[in-house]
Amino acid sequence: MIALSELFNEIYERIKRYKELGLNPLSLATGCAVKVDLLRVVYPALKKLRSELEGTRLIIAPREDADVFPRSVDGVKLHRRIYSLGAECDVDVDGIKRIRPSRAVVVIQIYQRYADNPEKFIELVGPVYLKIAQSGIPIHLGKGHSIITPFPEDQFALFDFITVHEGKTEGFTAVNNDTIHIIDPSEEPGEYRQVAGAISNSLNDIFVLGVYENLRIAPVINAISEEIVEKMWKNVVAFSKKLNAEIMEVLQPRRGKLLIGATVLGDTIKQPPMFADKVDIGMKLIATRPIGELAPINVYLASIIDESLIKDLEEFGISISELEKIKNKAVDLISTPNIEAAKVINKYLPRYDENYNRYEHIALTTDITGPGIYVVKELAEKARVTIKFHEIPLLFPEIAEIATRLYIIPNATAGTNGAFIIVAPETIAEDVVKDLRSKGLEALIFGEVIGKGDAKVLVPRKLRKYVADQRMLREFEFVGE
Amino acid sequence: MECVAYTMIICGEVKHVGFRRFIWGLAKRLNLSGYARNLPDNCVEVYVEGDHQKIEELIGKVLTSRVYNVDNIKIAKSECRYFYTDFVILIGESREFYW
Repeated sequence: MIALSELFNEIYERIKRYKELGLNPLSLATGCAVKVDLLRVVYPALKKLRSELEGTRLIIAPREDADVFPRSVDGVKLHRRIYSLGAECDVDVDGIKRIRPSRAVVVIQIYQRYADNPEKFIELVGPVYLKIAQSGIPIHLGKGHSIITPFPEDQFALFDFITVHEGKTEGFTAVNNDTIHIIDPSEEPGEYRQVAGAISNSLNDIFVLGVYENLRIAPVINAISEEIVEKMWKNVVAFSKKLNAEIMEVLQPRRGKLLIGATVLGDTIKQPPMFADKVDIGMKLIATRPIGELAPINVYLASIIDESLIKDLEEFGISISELEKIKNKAVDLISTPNIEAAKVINKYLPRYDENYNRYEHIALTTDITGPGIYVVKELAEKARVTIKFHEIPLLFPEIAEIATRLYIIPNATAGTNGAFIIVAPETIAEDVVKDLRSKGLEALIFGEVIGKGDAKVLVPRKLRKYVADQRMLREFEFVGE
Repeated sequence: MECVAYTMIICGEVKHVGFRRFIWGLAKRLNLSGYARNLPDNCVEVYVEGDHQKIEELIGKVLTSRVYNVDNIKIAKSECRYFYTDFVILIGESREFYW
């Protein structure tokens, strides 16, 4: 058995190595610290940018998890362009006119000093959008995300423009993009699980819509070491093969430090489950598997940062080696694409040319991300219904409780590449669960819709054992144990 | 228990690295109240009030951390304000908090 000090030294060495690669892995387990603050920076900046773009044909869509549009039977073409930020941005307006895209998704990487300030954010990002708008081409910017870099020279805007061939349409195409730096800082960068986790995370927002056919992956791969880049590519190929997905040959940033992710596309002949107005009393809430995979990763990392926590953990009857095993199970889950759940969702959706049937079709879905269980509140707001939980479907309730009691993570229900929540009519709920279980998933019904009109979520009191964030807890009503 | 308060300006590799959450967890476990917030440049301001020994323990953990590189720390002692009943992470310069 490996001695504790040896294990810690090994991890400290790895942390040092990550720092050399340009990032601090300790900020990364939750994925949030590397994203530009949405509420304080991105949304105010986009609001201003939208008004500046008024009168142009570049439309920034309202926030959606994925961009969905009618599928052209002649297919689509993806063109990646990478621009500098600020007034000196190198947008080739004529080039955009030539490719005539109708959709686009974007990743912005911005220097951390400017990422706290909406004015500075817009000063850097605005000129890129305004130049693209000068092309006069109608473009729907369907999805974007902004991440932070500690190095000023590493800023960029990565646009994936999508040219949709005109002509017959059938079904839908869904597009999403996402990037992360690392899944598990206690493991080497470039490892299969890191790559699989990152790309699965990008795919999750289209899988949750039941979209899993004709998958295409346009990777975003970057590292300062060619050796790591090579290893990452090898693992991207292995991952794509498992999903039978096509890898698209695209430009890579070749600036900045460790970055893994992808723009992903998929097709479906079904209608995505976006029937919020059809959610009705009696419908069941299904989790495709239990949730909360970030809790053990955070507890593990917190124990590395503050060794005194090991003693606290032992008082709860958990040794570091047990914790490591649980953490590895969580990383395995994060690295497993939710394609089987996507297939089941797809089965219970209306065809693109059919009407929604309240007895046969799934009404809504969402995936569990950083806000964890709070996504159910968002779901209740979207459908304006009251939802009652029968239980809290946690993967590791003990660890989640410890994470909360020791104030390691404010919300131990949070996830990355998380499980899906499905709102389905009672008539099919048991069948959906059966189908998910037949795919090896530990699916369960954990709640139901009990009222309409008010967006409320009633939860068991024990949720307090798993969420330390008091502001979030105030969003729920507590009933029962 | 005599209540004491400290305001610390901690500079170094402390922004966007989970440092405020690290402080939040420490303060909550040590039953201290106050706040942590980012400052311009590479500094974080931490205000804590509570038991003197517990605050010393918190400062010790910050200074001896093997993973957060603190370049310098300025500490000023003051009287307890009794304004905060909890330890919170403030967003920017505001009094709004995450959790």
